[in-house]
Amino acid sequence: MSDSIPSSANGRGAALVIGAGIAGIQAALDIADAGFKVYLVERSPSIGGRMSQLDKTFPTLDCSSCILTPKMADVPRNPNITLLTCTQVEAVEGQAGAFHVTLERQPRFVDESVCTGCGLCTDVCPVITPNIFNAALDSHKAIYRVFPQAVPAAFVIDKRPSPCKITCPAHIPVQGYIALIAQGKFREALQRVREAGVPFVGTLGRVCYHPCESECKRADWDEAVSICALKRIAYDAGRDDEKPQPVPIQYEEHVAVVGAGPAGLTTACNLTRRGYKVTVFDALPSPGGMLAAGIPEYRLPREVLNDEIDYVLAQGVELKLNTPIGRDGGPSLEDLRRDHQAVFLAIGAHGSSRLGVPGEDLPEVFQAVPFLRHMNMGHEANIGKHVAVIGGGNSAIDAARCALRLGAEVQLVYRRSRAEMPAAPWEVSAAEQEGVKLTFLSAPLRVIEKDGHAAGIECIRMKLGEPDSSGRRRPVPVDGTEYVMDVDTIIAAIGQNVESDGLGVETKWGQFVVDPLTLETSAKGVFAGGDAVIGPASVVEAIGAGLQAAESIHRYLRGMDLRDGRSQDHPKSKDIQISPAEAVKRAPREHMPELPVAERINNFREVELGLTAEQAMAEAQRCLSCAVCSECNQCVTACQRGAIVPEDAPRRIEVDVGAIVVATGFDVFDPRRKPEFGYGKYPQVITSLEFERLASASGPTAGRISLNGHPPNKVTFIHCVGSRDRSLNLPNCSRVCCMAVAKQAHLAHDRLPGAQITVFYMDVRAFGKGFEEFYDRVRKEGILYRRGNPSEIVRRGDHLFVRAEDTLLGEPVEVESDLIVLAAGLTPRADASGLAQILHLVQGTDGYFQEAHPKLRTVESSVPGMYLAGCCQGPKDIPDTVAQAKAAASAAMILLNGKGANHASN
Amino acid sequence: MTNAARVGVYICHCGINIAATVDVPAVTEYAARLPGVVVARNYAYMCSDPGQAMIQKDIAEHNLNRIVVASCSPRMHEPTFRAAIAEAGLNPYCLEMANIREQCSWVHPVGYPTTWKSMQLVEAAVAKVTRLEPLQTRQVSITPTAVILGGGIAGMQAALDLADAGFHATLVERESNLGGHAARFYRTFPTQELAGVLVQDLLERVNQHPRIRVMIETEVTDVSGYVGNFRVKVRRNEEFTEIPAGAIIVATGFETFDPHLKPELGYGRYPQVVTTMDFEHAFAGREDSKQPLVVHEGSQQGGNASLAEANDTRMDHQRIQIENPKSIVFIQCVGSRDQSVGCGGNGSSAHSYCSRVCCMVTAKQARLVRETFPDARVTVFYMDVRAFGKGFEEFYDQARQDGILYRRGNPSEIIKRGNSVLVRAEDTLLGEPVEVEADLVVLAVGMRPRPDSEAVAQLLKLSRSSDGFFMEAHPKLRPVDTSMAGVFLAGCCQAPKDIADSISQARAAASAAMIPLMRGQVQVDAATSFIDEELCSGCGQCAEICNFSALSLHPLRGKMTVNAVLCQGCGSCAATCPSKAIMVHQFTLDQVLAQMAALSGWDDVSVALEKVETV
Repeated sequence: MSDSIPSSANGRGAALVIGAGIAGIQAALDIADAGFKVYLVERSPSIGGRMSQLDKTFPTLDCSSCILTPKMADVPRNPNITLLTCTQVEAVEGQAGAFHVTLERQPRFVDESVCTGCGLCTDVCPVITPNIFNAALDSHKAIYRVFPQAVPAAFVIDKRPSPCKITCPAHIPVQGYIALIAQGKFREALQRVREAGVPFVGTLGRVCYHPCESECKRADWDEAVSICALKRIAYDAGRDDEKPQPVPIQYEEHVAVVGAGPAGLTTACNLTRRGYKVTVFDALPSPGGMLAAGIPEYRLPREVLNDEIDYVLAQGVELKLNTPIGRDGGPSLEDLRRDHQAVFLAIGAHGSSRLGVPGEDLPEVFQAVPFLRHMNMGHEANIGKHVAVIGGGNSAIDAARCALRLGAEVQLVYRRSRAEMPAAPWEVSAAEQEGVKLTFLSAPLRVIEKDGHAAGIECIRMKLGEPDSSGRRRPVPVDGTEYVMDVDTIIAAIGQNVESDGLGVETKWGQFVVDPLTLETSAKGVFAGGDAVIGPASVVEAIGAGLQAAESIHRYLRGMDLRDGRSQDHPKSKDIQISPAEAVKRAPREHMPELPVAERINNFREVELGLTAEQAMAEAQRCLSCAVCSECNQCVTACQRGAIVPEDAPRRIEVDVGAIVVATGFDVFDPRRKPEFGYGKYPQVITSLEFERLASASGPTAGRISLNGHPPNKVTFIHCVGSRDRSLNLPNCSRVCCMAVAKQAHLAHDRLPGAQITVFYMDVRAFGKGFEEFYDRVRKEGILYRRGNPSEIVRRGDHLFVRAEDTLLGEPVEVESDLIVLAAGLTPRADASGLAQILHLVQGTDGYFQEAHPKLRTVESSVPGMYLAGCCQGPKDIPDTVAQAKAAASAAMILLNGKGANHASN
Repeated sequence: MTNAARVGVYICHCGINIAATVDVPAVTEYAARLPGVVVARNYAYMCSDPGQAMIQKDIAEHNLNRIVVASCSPRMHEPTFRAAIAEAGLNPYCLEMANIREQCSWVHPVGYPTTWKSMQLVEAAVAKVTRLEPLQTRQVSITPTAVILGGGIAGMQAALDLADAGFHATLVERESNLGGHAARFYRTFPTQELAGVLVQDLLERVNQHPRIRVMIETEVTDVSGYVGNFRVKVRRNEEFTEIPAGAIIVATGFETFDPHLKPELGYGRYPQVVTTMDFEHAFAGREDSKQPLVVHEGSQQGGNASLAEANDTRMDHQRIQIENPKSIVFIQCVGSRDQSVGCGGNGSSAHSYCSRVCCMVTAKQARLVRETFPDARVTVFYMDVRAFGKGFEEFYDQARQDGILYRRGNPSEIIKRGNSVLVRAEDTLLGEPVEVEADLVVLAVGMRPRPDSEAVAQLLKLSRSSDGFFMEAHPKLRPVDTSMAGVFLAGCCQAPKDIADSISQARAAASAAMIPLMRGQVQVDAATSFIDEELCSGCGQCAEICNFSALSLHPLRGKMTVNAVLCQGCGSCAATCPSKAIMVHQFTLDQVLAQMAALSGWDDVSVALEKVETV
């Protein structure tokens, strides 16, 4: 999507200011006050920058927030400023006087113009995440305001990709229902999955192969979260007997869905909800497709399945059973296309591959799919006492376990080894526990016939050869190893195929050919998905296809672009880094009890018994909230103004400006690069920015300087951490740390009566107005300045010691400390090079943006029409930043006023 | 009480700044029961958007017409709340702030009844707010030109920016040349460029600019008017000119510390002892590098002549020729970071501040010496090396790598030894006294306010900070504004700074000046004094006390009149008037007495008035 924002309202030209820290705010205010239009772009959700994180400012000890917030408040109040938060510059074209800028605005998920900042949303949000503004010293909710005086005051949702949701073929908001279960809100959890367009919650909770669990980040600590079992309890504990009301029909178009399996019913459910009339056709006498016909009852009780199908139908889906399409005397696809404006083919893969061996057509040789369908439809199955099941997939296991339950002795014959079995491993072991015998590396040669009946099967041993196209090693017969198995019944389960003949739609190997993104087939208005497209697969993939089809059909019928904004590219789960808000305590996953083998092998009662509510809540609490926002949508319910926009998407914004002021600020040096100081290892070692938050009245400790609740009484400050350090190739001075330390040492002295405060320094650079006087005052307060650059911080017992050479005494010293503050230097932004590329700016050897001349042209960049302000050009304190920002504003205004061309170009 | 005052009271927690010592809910309850109060609420940060929105919503819902915010000093957030209530349709002057932070929660010892005091302050504010009258601000059109005082680097740059932006600028310089101190430098740190080239570039642009008028050998004699419409009177020889200006930029620069004031260093006594400025001039004046280096002592201009004359040890124009020196010593912080020497400017304070540039000047000169006299030993005595700017530390590193010996210590004296001198110091890193023989000693003299800065301050009604430099409006966020609207600071008259920082600040001042010039008009505050002509006898005592020339006698009516544009609302006139004929809007007798009555528990205003009369 792209937004056009009215450009220069007054025709006097406009400026773009990138970065809304104090430099960007000041530049924007000056330019706007003079009457020019300003676009102020900030990538975080609030303006204010680093200054808003500071407690007091040196040397006057003014409260940083108190002097900054009036300026922040002036920004939205200024009619000439358009403030764009959560926004970054994507591209810049043109030249001084006429830049065309492309911006990308990341979703805030909260409508700034509607949100009143009341905070009801944050009260109900179940997710906590580290509070980066407070240097991760405390946490906030997934929906939050950066700090109380943030501008704009609107809340923002921290929403990131999570491995489980990305991996799920139906992209179910896993973390959302888990967060609700963790609070015991089972009903809301069920509702959340259904809202996401997935009607088969109890079903998936039983039969899903849960690829999500394989990617769960919790496994990096102990074990994956038991996601599937949690989905099951969302249904089991959250269901009620209330059925949804039929959805009123909004559109006149009528949609036909062929196949009442999980794909077809999911599509029907979602299109009905959108206001379409949908009719589902199925060849079988009952709905559910493979869920009903293929999956045995001991895995999926029919009561659960039927309840979920009823949920779909109750919304107004019309169902026509016993109606095959394009065969067996049923209507043709053309008939459907005549009466319906769109068709979705979800006919599944109900055909069976033949064994291709002599004797296959004997009456005691069954195909697994019809065998299971026969039984699942409630018919008697006539099998013998000794059954061989041929194959290694889930259908083979289902057939074997069913045969076992009918009282037979069952052997499963698979031509590869256990490792290659396509069936879910937990299904295989359950079958084994129940008494199914597994024979690997063995393949049938012929069915032995006696009097027109099967009397055994001759097999041959196999060995594994070279890998085939599927990547699995190809089985090769071993000559002379033929043997006979004494069985009276054979069930073949070696493959399923799609019965796609007679529909007139392009297929390949019997499967419909579709556009993988939109599911369009070769026939206009006809879409296909599920097993009918990808071959026999899983329920969740079928549901995913159903959701995809519903979206496509809606767009198709509404004349919208079928591809816009859709993508199958997701971040790789291995690339997702997470930082849990609290230390993760090891806790193994909860396991659900099962019916004992003896109690289950002679009946079709459900084997897995589900988690208890207590187990489920404990299990759900193991979730690490990788996505931060769990998408539980409780904020949506809580917000009385309807300000939450869960589907908010990135937006592109184009603006035309004459001048650009770059004010993107700095990063703080990461002291982990100096491991000798133990930052990240010893909690007592913090950075100066963390100290600011500790000292701040609005910080995590409400201004009490304390660690774990204990006020320290031996505080040591270390200067020049990551500055003036050639060993790290950071030779430059960071300019502000000396005074920041002096100020912090004063605050420590003030707030920690009696504490011993030591400062290690190389040179004290108190160069600005009033600085030397402040430094004098601090020393007079009794703070001990020792000249020396500490070599390391060591731990002895429970105590930390700073080791240094006091160069004035000329001797090594050790200072015991219970709080050590590292004056971490300023560094260029990690992404400075990226921005430099976009803007064509030159960076100096230190990585900061290079000014045109170090003495006379301190705000001009290497690009005419682009000006530098604040620490993106080099470290500087607040007044120097403000002065430079105003200077940049002056340069920009000269250009915009159109009278300074001769100067701007020299 | 004004008819049907409907007051909303809003009490701020200010995080814990107020709430930690004041029981905010209790104050809120108290406020809710005060006469005229319709609604009283509290919030964590009233100044935040939700806080302001709360007030705006109440104004609409409860039909409020007066607002009290009990929070911090009105200096900070009065404009915030005025704008907020104006957005909601109220007159912005129908606001009163009770300062329960700076005047209550922050300042009392533990155990003081701060909650009780906050209640009193809120009650007083409510009493006053019900008597406040709506006032109107005015827009005044302006003269779109600027006057810049001082033609150094800062002044020239400020003039160029304003002229480039389309405004006529007059650059007033007392000396006969533009360029200031920088015109006499040799090279600049850290890039070693020729200073002359940089200055020349500025000079040419200034001289060629059609919108810049340069007035040399000219002094300012009087400044009148106000932001947007100043009149600057200047004198060249005996010729007076009045220049109208919308804005004034003060860029009057600095002078260097006179090292005669530290006689132990022997400046003026030994020709071998020179200043960094002398040294700079010697290099700048040398025509080619084959010539011997001749250093004239006392070559800096603009020095303090009276002090120099008073110093009888001074021998004018000593000079020394440097050829094949064996040892050259630099001494830092001469007249900086030194509590023992007074600051001539306003006489009161020591030179305790850092002069910001000398460390790098010394490093630059030391490297120059190393280049010029590779065989000489170069020693620098320092306390801390303040190489803080972009590329500075790297430059300083290079100096040490070049073999320049940095010794930490503050020399105590320089004595004569044969044809050379001996520098005595304690090397604080070795912890022992050292003596270094030198053929030349260069003193890194600090920067100080110009001797006429007091006079300039009076002309422009500027304040000065304790170090004698001009004071900016706010040390962090308003580094170029002054307490006088329309008057801005640039360069070293505000505090020592290097060329790059001076240039940035000059352009910042230009930006600040451009804002009113580009808008074409300025807003005049409504909280000014006004005359009750019934009571005024036209005695004129008020005009005498007024700092802003805002009062004059009406020639026909015989009563005083107020120029509202000039009036700053300070209230001196109201305090002076013997017949209570002058009052200041927002601080009328009635309003202030109501406030005092509420604070002191007097029953009503008339009692308060009696009490005040008897005092």
